[in-house]
Amino acid sequence: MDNTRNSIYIDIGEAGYTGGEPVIKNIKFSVKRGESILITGPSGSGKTTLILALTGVLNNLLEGYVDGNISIFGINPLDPQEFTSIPETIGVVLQDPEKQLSMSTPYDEVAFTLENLGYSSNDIDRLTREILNWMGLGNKMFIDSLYLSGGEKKRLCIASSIVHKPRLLILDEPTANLDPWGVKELLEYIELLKSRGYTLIIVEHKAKYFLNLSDRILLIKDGELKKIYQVKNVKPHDLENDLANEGVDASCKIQSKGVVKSGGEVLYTVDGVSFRYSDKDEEVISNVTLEIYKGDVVLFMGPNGSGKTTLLKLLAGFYKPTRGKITLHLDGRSISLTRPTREVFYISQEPDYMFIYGSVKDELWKSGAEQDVIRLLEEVPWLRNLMDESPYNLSHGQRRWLAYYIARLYNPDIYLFDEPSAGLDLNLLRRFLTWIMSIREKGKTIIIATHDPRLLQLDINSIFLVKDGRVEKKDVKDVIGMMNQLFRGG
Amino acid sequence: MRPSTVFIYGLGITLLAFLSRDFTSLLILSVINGSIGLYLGLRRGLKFFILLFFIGLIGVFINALLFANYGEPIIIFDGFVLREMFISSFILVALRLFSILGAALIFTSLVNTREFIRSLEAELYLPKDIAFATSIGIRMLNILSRDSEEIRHIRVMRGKSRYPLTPSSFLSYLRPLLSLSIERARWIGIAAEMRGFGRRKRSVRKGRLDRLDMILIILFLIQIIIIVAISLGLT
Repeated sequence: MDNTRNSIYIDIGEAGYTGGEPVIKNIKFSVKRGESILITGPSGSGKTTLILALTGVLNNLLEGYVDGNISIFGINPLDPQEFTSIPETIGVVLQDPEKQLSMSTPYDEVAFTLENLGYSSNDIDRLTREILNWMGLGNKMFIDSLYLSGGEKKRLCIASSIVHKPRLLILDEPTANLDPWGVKELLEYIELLKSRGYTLIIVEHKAKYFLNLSDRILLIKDGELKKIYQVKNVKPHDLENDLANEGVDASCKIQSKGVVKSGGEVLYTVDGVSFRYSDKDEEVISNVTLEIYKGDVVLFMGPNGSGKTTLLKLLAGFYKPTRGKITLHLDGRSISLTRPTREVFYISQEPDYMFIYGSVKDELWKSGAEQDVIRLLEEVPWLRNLMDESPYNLSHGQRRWLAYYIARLYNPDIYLFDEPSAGLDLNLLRRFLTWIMSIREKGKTIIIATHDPRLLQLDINSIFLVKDGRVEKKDVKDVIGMMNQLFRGG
Repeated sequence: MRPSTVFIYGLGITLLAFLSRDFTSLLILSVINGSIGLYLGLRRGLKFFILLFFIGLIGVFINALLFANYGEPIIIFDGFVLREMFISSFILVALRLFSILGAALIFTSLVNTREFIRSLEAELYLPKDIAFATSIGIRMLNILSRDSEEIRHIRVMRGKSRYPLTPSSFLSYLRPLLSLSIERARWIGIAAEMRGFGRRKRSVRKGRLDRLDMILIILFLIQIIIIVAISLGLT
């Protein structure tokens, strides 16, 4: 009995969202108190479903089913009565902070957890301030949470999940959408939690960041538990290779082909451009001057909130510069860019923004010439089976690819990608890189705003570092050096 | 300030706007609430509400044109005749909408989500699920505002009008907004449950009305008195 109260046992025969369609099966493992477990695997392998199953969310809140037995420190989360005790025992941090944070300020967000659990007003105030200070959010307690950076939002999610000191913390894809600086900061906090004795279950396809933090690694593939690694018993190099072979991003080593010399004519002239949102006092983009050449692959790299997306939107003509001028040189014409033009296509990080029709069929047929759509459907057979579906009924990955295919059908000269690799595992990333290079071979210009060093694998012509709204041209070697320094020893 | 005071104020102004039938009453309501609401709302960057108002206005225009365009011709424009009843009904409904916009902006600008949940539970005795859903709905308007701007940019890039002017374009504008909101609401609900919302007990508190509550109550009473006086012909 004592052993049950100090451990977690998971024995799932089958679990899924609809009866008879299991997403995960035959998963059995246990976790000792104070242990750190990394659950990894390629996208779509069932990692998040496993989290939803073991917390009882799948059967109690999502009308799914779980066949099996689960005990979390003696509590059975599958039982509707015992499920209500789960929040006291487990803190859960979901993948996307935007879909987790619901209160106006960080203070309210954390206090909401304590209020739900029946703490007194004095304790709520004391514990809330304590945890926010500890998580480095003490000076942002009362600002609107919408204005926090990606890293700060993630830390706020952790703070509001551990303020009541649960025995187990579950983190679902904690590094998703975080820049390398945010990841490093987050890893330091997770290490602190581990040193404080928290039992940790981390679900992440970028296993590379957590190899040193984990006691054991569970590899999930096609919904099944494929392998369990005891980290101290495996050589790091073997572990990296083994995981990489399974499609898991396990190596911190940054690969790059270096810079390819650009040979084209000038396409964009950005001359002393600054930009400020009408409801803000500070400039988001400050006095940027640069040139982009036709047919090039250009990366704008920088931390979350540095101004990359705004710069990309300025290049798309979505915003008019507050100062300076952006000129687009195309087919012997020079256009002062102040509104969108058909030669430039911006692909948002959030694919749902991209759709304007009610079915996949309309999205495709109304975006390009008939022969182009037919060719696309021959190349991408899965699209043919989904023609009558609403784009919003597709999976997130399918929606993202649909947005790329719509862009392709518009046949623009310039593709602007905003964080295109977010959420892509190793295999999907390779597929995306191949696709990008195939567009480039057609003479298109590709401009990418990203914080993901994995995109350095592209044949890049220029890299610009964006920080605090300022833009500086960098050498690839410098950028790689900077990233390696950030994760040295990590 | 107690969120329930602002909630009752907003609800009260909306009711007054619906009940008032004459031009002067609606003008008073829209000037008072519209100006305060716009001042507070623009400071909080709530432009989305103003966009919703203009979208609503298009509907009011079409409705008045189809169902109330009779009486003496007032404006004749290239064979297009706008008649007396069209003008008066369009103005009345627009003023009504503007008063409601003002009340909504006052409410959204002054209310904090967590305080609002507590207030609805403790002072208005609403069930926690309704209090939470109402508060989150209001909180999400800020996020909807950001989504709507993104959608407008993409629409223009894909060759559509920036603002939806026809029923089909309105649908294409609404679809992504709804899709994103439903998904967000679902996960926010799950996250709240995982933070003990299911165990939440009604918060008990004995709050006193402060000066701002009193100002809002007096402002509300003044508007009621003026409107009753106008409707009884006392002015």
